[in-house]
Amino acid sequence: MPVPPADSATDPAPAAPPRFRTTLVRVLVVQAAALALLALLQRAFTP
Amino acid sequence: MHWINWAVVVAYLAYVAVDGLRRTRGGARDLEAYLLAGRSLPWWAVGLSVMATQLSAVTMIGTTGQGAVDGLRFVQFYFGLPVAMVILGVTLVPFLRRAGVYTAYEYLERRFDARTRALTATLFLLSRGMSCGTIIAAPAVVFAAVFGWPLPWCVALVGVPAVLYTVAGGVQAVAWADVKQMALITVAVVGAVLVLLHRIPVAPAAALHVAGAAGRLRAFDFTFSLTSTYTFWSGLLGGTFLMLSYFGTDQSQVQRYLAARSVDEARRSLLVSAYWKIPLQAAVLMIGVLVFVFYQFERPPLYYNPAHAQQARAAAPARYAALEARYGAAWGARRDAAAALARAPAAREAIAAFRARDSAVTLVRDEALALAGGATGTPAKDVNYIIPHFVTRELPVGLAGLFVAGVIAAAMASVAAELNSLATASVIDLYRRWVRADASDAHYLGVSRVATALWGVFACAVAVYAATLGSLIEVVNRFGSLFYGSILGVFFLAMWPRARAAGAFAGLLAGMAAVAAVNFGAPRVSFLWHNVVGTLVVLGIGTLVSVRSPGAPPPHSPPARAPRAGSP
Repeated sequence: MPVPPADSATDPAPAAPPRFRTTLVRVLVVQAAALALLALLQRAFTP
Repeated sequence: MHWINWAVVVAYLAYVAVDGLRRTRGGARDLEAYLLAGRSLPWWAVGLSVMATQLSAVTMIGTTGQGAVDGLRFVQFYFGLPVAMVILGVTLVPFLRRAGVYTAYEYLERRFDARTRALTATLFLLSRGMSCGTIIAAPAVVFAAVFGWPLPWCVALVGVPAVLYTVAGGVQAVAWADVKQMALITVAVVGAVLVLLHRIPVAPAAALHVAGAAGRLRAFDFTFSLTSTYTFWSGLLGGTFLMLSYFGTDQSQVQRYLAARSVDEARRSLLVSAYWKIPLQAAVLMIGVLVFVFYQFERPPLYYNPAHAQQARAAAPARYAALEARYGAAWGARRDAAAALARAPAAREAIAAFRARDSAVTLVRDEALALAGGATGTPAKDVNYIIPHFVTRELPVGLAGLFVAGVIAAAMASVAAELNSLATASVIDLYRRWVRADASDAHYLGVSRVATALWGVFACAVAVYAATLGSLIEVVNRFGSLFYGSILGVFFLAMWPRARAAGAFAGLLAGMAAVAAVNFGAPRVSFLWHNVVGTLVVLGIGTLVSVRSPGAPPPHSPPARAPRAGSP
């Protein structure tokens, strides 16, 4: 197993790659859509 | 239950155990392969394993039951999860992956000191060791009541296959078993929803109107209250901290993404939960909601737990008979009101009449449960028995077996992950750190297998006792929630270069004390906020002590006594 450099534990985390950032935005959009669907369900069927 | 259903259950259990044993042939020849699958798992397998670990038998029978009595409200509990996954993907995941550690607590020694690592690892072992037993106990109690089997058999049904394949195959077997468990659980959940939609004698839209009139489709509560458990804000803010703590610092979760092929694959594995957790949880709750609607048209029992019925009948036969008669009449009136509502969902009178009849049914049920509670001396709740009653009596042959296998699969997935992570923390953070630091890899591999087996035996023993002491489960859960947020605070503190070991340790103790205070009502704060309190107190006290800490080591020096990653 590779041994990490001595200061790796306190180095700042590497920035998220652009593809990952796009995925993050996608996650948030999908979740917002899921919550909107639940809200719609509540609004349409709860008197 | 029909013999074909049992055949499905037995076939599935045998398949999981045999497949787990088969995987020992190709892999797990060294410690890293056994505990971290050689850091070789693809993102989707890790992602499904993370979901399977979190989805326990309680989700399959308790959460669905909660959907039947309380509706979709519980889904708010998960609103913080996607946010937490996103934060972890850019913070802790790359940190822990790059540190090349086996456990999250090992990293804390590198960054701070041995006592912080020892304390956090010990807290994890204590809490998770006990909770592993309660994870087995929860479905075992229900199986014992529903099928009339002795409790130790039910504990063995869940515990033995899980222990077998975890001891034999390590994390590799656990992760691949989890993939199968998730597939089975998804098929069981979707199958149950389809059957319910088919069996409910009104159109799906009318069924939803009936559920909505009873408040079962209320998924959002925007009240801001520190004492209410399930609101939009407690789910989004408190839930984010809870999920950050759980997925970021609990070894049972951390170990999954440490086993991924790369940082990017580890991040992507967490996004599987970020995408699917809320929809899956909503589907699980929807089963409960549809079961509620189903029992508007099909007569449910007065008691879902057959043991309650026996005890109440034996203690007060005349009162029991009177309650049965009243329940039958109240249910009949509600069925007619539900049918009228389904025909005219917009009519105000129909809605009011249905709600009044539903309240009358609830009143009789409450009286019946009080009678059973009086007979047994403990409060009688039967939320966890609603779905087992429905599954064993109403689902078609084969699907019922699949659902029961799904419940056992969910329990095994959680137990296996816990056992594997308990063994890892025991061997890496305690045995290798404090008892024997210079043994061979083969020695640690052997010790890891023994530790897994011993934790398995311990968990099964706790399960048998926890089941007879209902309040113990609550105590264990409370104990776990005492330090989750505080440990998260320590990890956040670790990312700040000026943080010192003294600050981390003092912060950890202060955070746990603060959470203990709010846990016991001074001031009273709902449990979803406990992790927020713990994290903030650790960050506050930890920063203060670190800034004032004299003679602290320079922030980029590794601690002198810490063993290096990869050392034997």
